Amino acid sequence: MSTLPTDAALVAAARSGSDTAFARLVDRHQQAVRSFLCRVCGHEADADDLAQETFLAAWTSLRTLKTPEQVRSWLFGIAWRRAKGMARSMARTRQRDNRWQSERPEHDMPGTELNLAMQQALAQLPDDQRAAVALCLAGDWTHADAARILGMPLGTVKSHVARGRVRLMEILGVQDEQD
Amino acid sequence: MSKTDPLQAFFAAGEAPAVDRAFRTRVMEAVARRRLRIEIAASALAGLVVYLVLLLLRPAFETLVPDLSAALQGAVVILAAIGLAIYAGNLLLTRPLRLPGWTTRFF
Repeated sequence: MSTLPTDAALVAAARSGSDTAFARLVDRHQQAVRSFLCRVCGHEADADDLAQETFLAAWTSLRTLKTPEQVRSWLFGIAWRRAKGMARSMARTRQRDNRWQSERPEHDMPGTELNLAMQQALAQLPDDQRAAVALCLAGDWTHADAARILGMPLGTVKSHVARGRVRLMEILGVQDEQD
Repeated sequence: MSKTDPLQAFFAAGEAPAVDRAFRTRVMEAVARRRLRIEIAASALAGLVVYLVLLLLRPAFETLVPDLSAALQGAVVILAAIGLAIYAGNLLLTRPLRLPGWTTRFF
C-alpha cells in the first residue's frame, strides 16, 4: 500500500526541480488558499488571481522556506501579504461588483444564498478582522498560527476573532449556541 | 470551534473546489513561463559576461597571436559549415511526409 508523500518530501522534490511535486503541492493546498483569499477579498475571480500569484511566488522563493513541513502556513502568509497589497484595488472591484450584484435579478445570482450572505457579512468587517475570522473560524487554524500568518500579536488576533464572530452573528441574524 | 457552530454552514458554502485541474494547469503554465524568463535572462547574462571577458582579453590575444582574425578564419569556416549541416539535417528530418493512400487504413 502506497503512502502519500509528506509536504516536506514534496517541497524537497520541488526544490530539486520536480514540477510534478510542485503540482501536487498546488493540488493539496489550493482549496484552503483560495477559500481563504475568497473570504478576505470577497471576489472569486480576484481570489483566484491572487492564489495563482501566491503559488507562483512560492515556486520562486521555495528555497527560502525554512520549515518545509509548515508549507501551508507559509503559503497563507504569502497569500495574506499579496491580498493586503491588493486591498485598495480589490475594494474598488468589490464595490463595483456589489453594485452589479444588487442590480441583478435574484434568480440570476451565482452561488448559494448562504455563500452570498456570508460574503456580504464578511465584507462589512475590517480587513484584519476579516482575515482573522477567515483563518480561525472558517479555517481550522489556531490563534497562534493565525498570529504567525498575519504577522499580528496573539492578543490582537484573539480580539479580532471574538469581535468578528459577534459581528457576523449580528449581521447574519443567527443565535450563538456556544454561550 | 464546535461542530454545531451556526456559522459553519455559512462558511462551508463558500469553499473552493477540492480538486481543480484547471487551476493547477494555470499555475503550472505560469511557473513554466517564469522558468523560461529566468533561463533566458540567465543565458543573456552569461553571454554578456563571456563577451566582456573576451573584450578584456582581446589585447592579450592580439599580443599572443599577431593576426587573430586570420588564425580564427579556419575555425569560423568549420563552425559555419557544421551549423549549416545541422540546419539542413533538421529540415530534412522534420519535413512532412506524404504517404501513399493505402497506408491511411493503418492509422
